[in-house]
Amino acid sequence: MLTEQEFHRAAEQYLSMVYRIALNYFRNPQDAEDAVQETMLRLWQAQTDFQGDNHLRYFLARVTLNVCHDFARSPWRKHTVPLESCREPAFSAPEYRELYAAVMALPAKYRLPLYLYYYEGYSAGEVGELLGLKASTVQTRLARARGKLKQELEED
Amino acid sequence: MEQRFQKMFDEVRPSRRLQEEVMNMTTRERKRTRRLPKKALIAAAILAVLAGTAVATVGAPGTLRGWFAQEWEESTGSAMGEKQLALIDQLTKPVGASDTQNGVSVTVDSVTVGNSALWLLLKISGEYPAQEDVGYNFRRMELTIDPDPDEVDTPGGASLSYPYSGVAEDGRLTLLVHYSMDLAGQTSLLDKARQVTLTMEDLVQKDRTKLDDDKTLKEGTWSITFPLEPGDTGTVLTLEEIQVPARNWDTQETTVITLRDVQLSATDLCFAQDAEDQAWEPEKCVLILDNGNEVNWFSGSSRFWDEGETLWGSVWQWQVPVDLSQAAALRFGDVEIPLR
Repeated sequence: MLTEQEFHRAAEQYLSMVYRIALNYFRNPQDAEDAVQETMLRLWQAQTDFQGDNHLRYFLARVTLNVCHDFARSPWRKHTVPLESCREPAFSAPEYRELYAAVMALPAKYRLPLYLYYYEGYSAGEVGELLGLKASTVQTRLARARGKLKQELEED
Repeated sequence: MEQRFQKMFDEVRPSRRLQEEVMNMTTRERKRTRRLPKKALIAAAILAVLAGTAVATVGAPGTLRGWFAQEWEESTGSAMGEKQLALIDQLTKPVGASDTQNGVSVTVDSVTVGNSALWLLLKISGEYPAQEDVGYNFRRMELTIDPDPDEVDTPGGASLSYPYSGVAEDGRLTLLVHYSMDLAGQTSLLDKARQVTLTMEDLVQKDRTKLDDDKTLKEGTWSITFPLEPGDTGTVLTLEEIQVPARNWDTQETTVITLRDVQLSATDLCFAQDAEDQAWEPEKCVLILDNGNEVNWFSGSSRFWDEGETLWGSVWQWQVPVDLSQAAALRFGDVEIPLR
């Protein structure tokens, strides 16, 4: 179990990652925030003896995905939130806003591997373990996601 | 592309409010998993065997009244007064409806009803493997209300959360369910007679400390329907228009915005703001009582209140139902708004 100080350090270090994974899952900041709270609560209550930062980071990524799955199949989300009603973060440049919109327009099965691979730096095998997919499936999805993103951005 | 992708996501960050809430978790959340002394745990285990229930975390009160009194004491540091208790009693009704499947009975013991929220106390008994230090829940739970109180056709939501699951002080496996629904300030769960149907699938063991999937203890579908009678939440206060500090959590800028049609009830605070102010979220609100006690909001949601999307409205629920005859002021950030 983490001490209060260790928990605060973990939150400072990994809260953004947890939030971005949840946002990639739901696209909707409100659902993402709910998932973050539940994930961090599970961390705070966890009895796990973490063997270093990588273990903790992997634990959080895995728990975030589990929490998102749980929320998605519960009555939490009574109404489907249309894409256009999802508030976007404020970006410093229009190109980032366009890219964000293009990423969020991708299906979740592409968004999550894309984020975990290109931003968090997990290997295809690790992404596969996190998402319950074969590494080859992850590679295929990454290739398709890149293609769709390119197409979407060129059309704009 | 890869670099642009990384720089773009560098700018996607959780709001400061979320960061603060997570940092404050350490002072709030472990309180709920307190354990009984070993002697009491043995007593609870014996009771559980006799009752055919399972042992998990122990110690929450076995009634909604007791639960709210405990929450009140933990958050204000003082015991809940008589008027507050009377309000809880007014809003809480015994139910006693149950369903038995595969040797497990689920009973809706009682319900506390507010404008946009329900607290349901479930009691579960039957024969299934018992294990210490784990929580219990259902793999899936759904709550429907007929007629549907949500009369606005804009994206909105309802949520279910489980503030407590375990063996309560009465020795019975207990699940506290909190249901809230954003009704766009237009209807109330108490404005007419309705039927609530609670459907639960598969009783599971939830070990929140491990990544393992939930373990199914009993398969089955339990369905319980019970009536919600019309009623009122006691004193309701309305404020036509107030100016409050607000923050854009993405840019961290602050400003002052106008909230309209502000309505305070025993269970929630709802208000509307112009659609163009949607990005501005009012600073955290606290209800201040005559004796100086402060009641925080517990959860909330926002949606458009009209199909023309001109009004952006929010509902914030109080941590426990509050007797508003004792309310002295609302405080948003550092701005205090007297209520009398």
